Amino acid sequence: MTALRVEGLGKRYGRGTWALRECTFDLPQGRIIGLVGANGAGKTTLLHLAIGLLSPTEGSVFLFGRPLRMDRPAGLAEVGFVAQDHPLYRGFTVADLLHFGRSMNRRFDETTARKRLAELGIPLDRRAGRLSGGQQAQVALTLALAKQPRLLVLDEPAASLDPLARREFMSTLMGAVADSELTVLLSSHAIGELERVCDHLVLLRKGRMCLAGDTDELVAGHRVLSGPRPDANAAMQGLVAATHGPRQSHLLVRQPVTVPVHPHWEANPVSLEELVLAYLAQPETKEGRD
Amino acid sequence: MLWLIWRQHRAELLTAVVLLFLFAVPIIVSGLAMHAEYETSGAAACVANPQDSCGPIADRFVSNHIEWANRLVFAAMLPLLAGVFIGAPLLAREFESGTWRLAFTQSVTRTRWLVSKLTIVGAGTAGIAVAFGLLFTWWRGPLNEIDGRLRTAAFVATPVSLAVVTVFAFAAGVLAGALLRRTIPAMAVALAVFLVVRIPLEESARPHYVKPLSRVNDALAHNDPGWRPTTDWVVENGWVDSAGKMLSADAQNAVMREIYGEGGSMYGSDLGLARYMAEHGIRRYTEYHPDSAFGAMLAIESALYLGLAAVLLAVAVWVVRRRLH
Repeated sequence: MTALRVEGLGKRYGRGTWALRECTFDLPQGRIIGLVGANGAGKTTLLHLAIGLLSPTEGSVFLFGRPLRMDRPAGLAEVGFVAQDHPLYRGFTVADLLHFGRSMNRRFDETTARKRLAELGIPLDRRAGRLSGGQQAQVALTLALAKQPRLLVLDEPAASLDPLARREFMSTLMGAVADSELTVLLSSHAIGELERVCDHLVLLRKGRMCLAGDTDELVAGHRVLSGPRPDANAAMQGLVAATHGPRQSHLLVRQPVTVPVHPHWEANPVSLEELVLAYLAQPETKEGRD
Repeated sequence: MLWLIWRQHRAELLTAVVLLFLFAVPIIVSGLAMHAEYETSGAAACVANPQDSCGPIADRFVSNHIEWANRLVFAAMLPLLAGVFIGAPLLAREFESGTWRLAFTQSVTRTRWLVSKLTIVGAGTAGIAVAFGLLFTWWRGPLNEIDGRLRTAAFVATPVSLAVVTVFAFAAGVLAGALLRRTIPAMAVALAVFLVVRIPLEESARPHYVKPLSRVNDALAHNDPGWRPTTDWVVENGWVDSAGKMLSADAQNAVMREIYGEGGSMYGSDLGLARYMAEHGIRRYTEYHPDSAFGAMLAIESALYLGLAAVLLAVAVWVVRRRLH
């Protein structure tokens, strides 16, 4: 089943440039999906559109098969969101924030939330503004999880954290996701981190989606061909990126491993990080999708 | 939802209550003394049963208290606090600190969140304004009986006027916050909008909320009825000639110069003036609102400010619902 489906999604702020354009993809349920892109690629816009915090300029969003209706409490209850920089009411104590969650949600698992906070050693009587960045992120995640959403969306959840806090945050997240039906969509520009946790990727470049798919299929569907520099006019099927050295050229191509290779090429598998970087670095004119 | 509103606005409520208390203590202390003096000086008896000898008694009583009574005109600025410190930050703070993303992703719809906040905080603010209005109006009671309750210093302090103006100021602050999304600029705009709307409306529009009555007196009329409470609110006066045309200020000055001479003393007998006016058929003209216009004025004031507030709040809701980001 599809957790999130977006069709021709686009967003323009005012009369300016499009922050997001022609986005279409399906996200499978029960997976951890990474949204990758450079800063300003439209990740936050896409996430805000996906949960109805913003309304799209064009296109539509479907959540678990139904059109997104964020003017209905039922729709809101299905989504948990941890925004960038994990905003909290700074003057509220952690206990106040739990009270906030309880009074703003019909379904709110406060018992588990308290247990999780206790395990993390976050005092309930501390004001949110006085917590460390890592603790604030943990509280924001705890609040989002306590809603017991079907889709959890995190916008660069760990970007502002130090490496240790980042690891703790991701382990809390993974612990909560394990053995659950929860679908997680998280954005990041730390590809290494996404490689560890995500099994599905969506790549955004300059407001447009340039690649989407399961990580293992993406890796299996691409390979690097190495060999003497090819004739510039010779078209290579599924060429994504080419790097030319003095003796050899390396071509990243999108083709299944079953496609036979011309004998003067040496085919090698590609790592996910290489793949992502190649797509993100693609020149603007070339469309990566085939 | 209710809990959140309480938690977010309890400091403002506490501040408002403390402010009310700080005003209430001196007002009640001096008010009790004034109400007692009103009885003992005979001013109360004069209002109940006006006599010629009442003039000096009432004048002395009024002059004892007019200074503070006029200072209370600044009550008209109290709604500003509601606009700047309660209305403006209400949405601006959420946008500025990013917490709107937390608030709008709970299971309460944005519209319900907004409407609950606006009604409850708005009603609470209006309630505080009513309390201030009751306090001021009680204090002014004896003065209003002598001088009427329609003039600015009395009218702006009435509970209804104070409350509806407060709701307007609150709404202006809310909309400024929704549009500007930053607290300090929203506060500044709320302040400016309040002054720009409030002062001209009070100065220029209120005298014409309802059509004033008019009367024309002969200058030499000796049918002076003696001292009476002056509950009429005079909004316009001047001279009219025999044809019933208003004399301009220049024409009036020319007459004065003719009678008293250039730079002549205006003091002394005004018999000369009265005789001149009688000879030339000039009469005194007054436009005024009688005390009975009070209810209609309050109704129009309420409709005006509440209507403005409703428009501003509706736009704010629309902005937050539709134009987010």
